[in-house]
Amino acid sequence: MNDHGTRQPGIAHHPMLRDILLPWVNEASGRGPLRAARALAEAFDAHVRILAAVDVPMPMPTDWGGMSYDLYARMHEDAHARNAALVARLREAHAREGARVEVRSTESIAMHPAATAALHARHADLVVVPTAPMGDAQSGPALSWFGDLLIHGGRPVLAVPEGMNVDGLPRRALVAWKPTAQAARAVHDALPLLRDADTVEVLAIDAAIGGGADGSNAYGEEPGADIAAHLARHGLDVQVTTRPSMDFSVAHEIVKHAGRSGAQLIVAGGYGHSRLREFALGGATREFMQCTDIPILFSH
Amino acid sequence: MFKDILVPDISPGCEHGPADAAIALAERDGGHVALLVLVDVPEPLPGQWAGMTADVYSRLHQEALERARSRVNALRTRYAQASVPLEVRIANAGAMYPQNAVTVHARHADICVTTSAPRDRLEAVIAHDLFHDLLLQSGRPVLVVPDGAKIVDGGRAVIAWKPTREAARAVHDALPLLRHAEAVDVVVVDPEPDEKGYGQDPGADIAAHLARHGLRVEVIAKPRMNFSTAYAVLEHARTVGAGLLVAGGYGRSRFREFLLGGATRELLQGTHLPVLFSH
Repeated sequence: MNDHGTRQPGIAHHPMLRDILLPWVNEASGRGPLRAARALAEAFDAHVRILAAVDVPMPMPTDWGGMSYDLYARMHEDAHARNAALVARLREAHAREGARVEVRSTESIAMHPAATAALHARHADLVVVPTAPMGDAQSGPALSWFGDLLIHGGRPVLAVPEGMNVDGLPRRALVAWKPTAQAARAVHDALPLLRDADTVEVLAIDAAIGGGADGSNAYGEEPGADIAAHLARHGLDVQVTTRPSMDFSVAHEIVKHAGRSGAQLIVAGGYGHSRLREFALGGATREFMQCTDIPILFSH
Repeated sequence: MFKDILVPDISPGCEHGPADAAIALAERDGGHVALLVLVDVPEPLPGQWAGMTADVYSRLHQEALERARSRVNALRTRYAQASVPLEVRIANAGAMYPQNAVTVHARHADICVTTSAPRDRLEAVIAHDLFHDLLLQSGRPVLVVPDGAKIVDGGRAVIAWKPTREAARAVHDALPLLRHAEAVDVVVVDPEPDEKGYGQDPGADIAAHLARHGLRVEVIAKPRMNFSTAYAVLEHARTVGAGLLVAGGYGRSRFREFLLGGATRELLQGTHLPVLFSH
């Protein structure tokens, strides 16, 4: 197998997931991500940490006077009681799994719970969150959690649709390739998840040959070929597809393509930037979150 | 696993440290090494006094191409007996700045190995520019190998831990290297227990996570004293005889580092051992 060294490359050294973080974003969209996190934990013998945040709104003083201390104390009590009930219920649901699933309650003073979750992300291998379907009442908060984790967490984020029943690693995956730092990072962060894939399709939409002086939009002579060759060195079976975006947005085009080809995972660069303490997601990244019906792994 | 390792050839005749380090890494994982030689011709900019004639420009290009080819031949001869699959690649930077052309190649490598930027050398400027662009734009980790340093098996690795996304990435990008260390020191410099940063027990969470990856980890808190964070980390690495340092890079922009001074530049210029940086 290995002519070039004493160590035997193989299963034992395949990139592993050991710690998966699942922030409990909301009740309505928690099941899809939870199932996915548990399936991945099983595939890698990894540990899942579910974060249940106590969310107490900041007592903001306004022109019309703030909240009375008494009222704030009651809100605080309510939030704690709700959180205790959620933690108890999640713990009971996972009692059979023993140490594999841990439910942790977090409370942040003067910090958004998603920002606290981003701190926890830094010592996890992967973060799993819900997607944000168009028209869904929970989409706003879901996008906000996603953005915080993507931009500030430093770890890849797997967005899973609520209805999705992930029961193992994908057999077929689609890499949405662009010559950017984010896409390069996503491809590499996805390697553990591609362990059992029979086929990985590299899809380059509207790929131009050539590129700018700063290395932007530099697909090379044969768009997708270099990253495909690289993935092949990692032992993957890769095919390259290039196509125009037609009348749709790039995100829609990629999700539709994934549907036609039977992909069970999309891998994509996640774009956005920090604006003071807020963030702004890139347009395509937001659209991905709104229109996908299969899981997407994003890295920033 | 490092299956594809890229080494930009930026200071001819001056060092083989990065290439030798890349070969050592490839030996471990059954990887492949690409040495990248660039053909870089300055843009023919039209000036007020008229530009270059086509003839002069084509001669410039011809000379650059010949220089690159002879460099490629020298490298091919030197590494003909390499213990791993090794390719010497020649690429035309074309309209791109050379450091950006390298970045394009780095995106489809697992890691890029390059030289450090010692303060007192002319090449430091080139090395620093390349390092900066690679780190910020390639999305891949950069392993900096200073003159005379080598990749060692076993030994101790040091992580310069801070609760930032850059440090989190560096730690995860370094896992294939950390697996080869006998012990890992998570060094925190003057950490303040705080729920917005280090947590109640600075370094404990990342250490527990690394332990789950099968590593032998110890958390060590160091005082900065009158020196910088980078100095405290390097001093610890020297004291314990570490073979690898892992750090986040450019958490604050290079411009701000230029104004305020910064750990990334200090590590880059001051290191005596290989450092893996991620952004």
